[in-house]
Amino acid sequence: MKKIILALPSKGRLKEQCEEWLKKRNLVLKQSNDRNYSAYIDGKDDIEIRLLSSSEIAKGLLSGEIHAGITGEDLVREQSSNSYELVDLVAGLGFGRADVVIGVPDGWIDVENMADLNEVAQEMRKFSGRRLKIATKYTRLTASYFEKHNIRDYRIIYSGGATEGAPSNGIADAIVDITSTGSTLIANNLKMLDDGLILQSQACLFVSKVIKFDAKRKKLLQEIIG
Amino acid sequence: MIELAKRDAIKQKLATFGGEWVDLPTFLPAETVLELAGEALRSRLYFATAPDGRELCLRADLTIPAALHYIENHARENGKKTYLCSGKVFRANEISDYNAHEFRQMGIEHFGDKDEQNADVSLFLAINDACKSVNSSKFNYEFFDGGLIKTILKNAQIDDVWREFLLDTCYDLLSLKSRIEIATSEDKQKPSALAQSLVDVSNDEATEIVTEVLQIAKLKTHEARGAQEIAKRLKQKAMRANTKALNADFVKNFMAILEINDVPLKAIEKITIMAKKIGVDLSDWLAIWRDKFEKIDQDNAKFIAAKFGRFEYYDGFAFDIFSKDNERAIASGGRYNGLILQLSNGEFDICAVGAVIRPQILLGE
Repeated sequence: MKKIILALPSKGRLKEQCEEWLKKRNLVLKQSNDRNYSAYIDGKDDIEIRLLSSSEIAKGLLSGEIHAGITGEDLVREQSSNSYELVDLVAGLGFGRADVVIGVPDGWIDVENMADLNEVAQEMRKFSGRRLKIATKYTRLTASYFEKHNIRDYRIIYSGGATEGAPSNGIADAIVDITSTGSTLIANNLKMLDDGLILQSQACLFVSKVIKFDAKRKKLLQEIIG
Repeated sequence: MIELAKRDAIKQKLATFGGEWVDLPTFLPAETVLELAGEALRSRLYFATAPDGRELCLRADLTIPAALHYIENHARENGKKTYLCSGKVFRANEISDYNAHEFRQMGIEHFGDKDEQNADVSLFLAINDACKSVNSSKFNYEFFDGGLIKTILKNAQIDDVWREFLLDTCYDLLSLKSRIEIATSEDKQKPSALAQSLVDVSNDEATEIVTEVLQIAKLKTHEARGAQEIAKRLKQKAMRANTKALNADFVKNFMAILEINDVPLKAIEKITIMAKKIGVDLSDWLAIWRDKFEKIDQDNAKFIAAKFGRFEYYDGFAFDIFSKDNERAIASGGRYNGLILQLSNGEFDICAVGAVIRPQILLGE
């Protein structure tokens, strides 16, 4: 039987919000128990549900292994420079909002925007011989945004977690990370730049463009998309 | 695959320059390469992880591994050393019609030769001869000087505030032009009261004022960039806002220099004349370049004033050689006097010049 593979976040608030969103489309997610990662849609044998981490969903959509899925836009854009060709963003779902932003030490009172940051990077390289260090897991989004602002004198330091602490721990000078309220940035003595918003992300329904859907699958997809 | 006989012919010609064949490391510390070349190169590098967890990358050129090899093995002798190298370099595809992820480069890296003039010309001639030994078609040549714009800005008759502002971008045409636009604008942003208050005090006093402000506001900086650097920059910003915009005549003449792209002798003369108009005496520079061009055939050659190397480390004489039917250079090279100093963290200040041939492009394969 030809199925549509729909991937959903495997746990947490995001999973609950996805369930609510599906319910509004008369699609009820069933799971034998909360700790089990296999699930199905009640009465819909032709929709195969995969409960995965958000980044696995992004990866699967981009490779075509997953036909449709709900995940953060930040993860999809980060994982491929070609994402606009590989997936369709069908709808922003209004939850899981998070902005990918640049955070610099709040004591840098001379730095208000990207042009200032560029000057600081150039000066740092000129006087200390080293590049401005940016801690982030968003290496691709950072590189592309910095290129847009013609900032060249920087280095990315990969940070898989607790990124906001990187400047105070001496690992980096500034960060690129997600924030929803900005409170973690403030708690770590960081501030955002006037034009330092890289991406306004939220949970989105994506459909992979890598595989061609036949008529039956298209109909099934339509039921999900609504 | 490059025909072995042709590869050997290139090797033989390169060997006439003198020097020893060296096997350079294929893996390099990623940090060293990225610190030198910048994040712009990251998307074109191939990474690997060493068993001890260090991030490595496959070499993207021969110059950086050659310079590292020199620092490790010969820099202490502080003498001349020439490496002849041949090997694959690895770069992710950028141009769609050139699909190779790995391709061969063959070249010469020449360190510590204080007769820079002779070294520059000899290196170019050796590379050119090697190219000609396997491809009889007519080549096009582009010459440039990686240090020219810096020299002009350092000596131009402009306010020091603008000199410092422009010098930071002298290796990047786009940034340079954007800063010239800022420096010529009459509509400047008013400095903050704090920045303005720092203009007439000493740097130490300015640092104290900023330290106090940060303490009162409970704001944090960090070791790499503290109150001193912040005070300095606030002061600079205020001074830029208070300083008269760049003189229109300077901008006109400087921009005209940036546009110069002509046959070599004509171009270097034009540059010298235009530079004089902004108070820069380039007569010694002109004599040096004239002397070079006396020894170099100028058929199908151009000198480009504002051509910047693919890598920032070219800081003097530099060139690209093109065949008629490919927009990618078949050979490139130049002087990189600052590279050894940078890679050795200031330990060795040794001049260097080098160049590579890209045999796959040269042979149209």
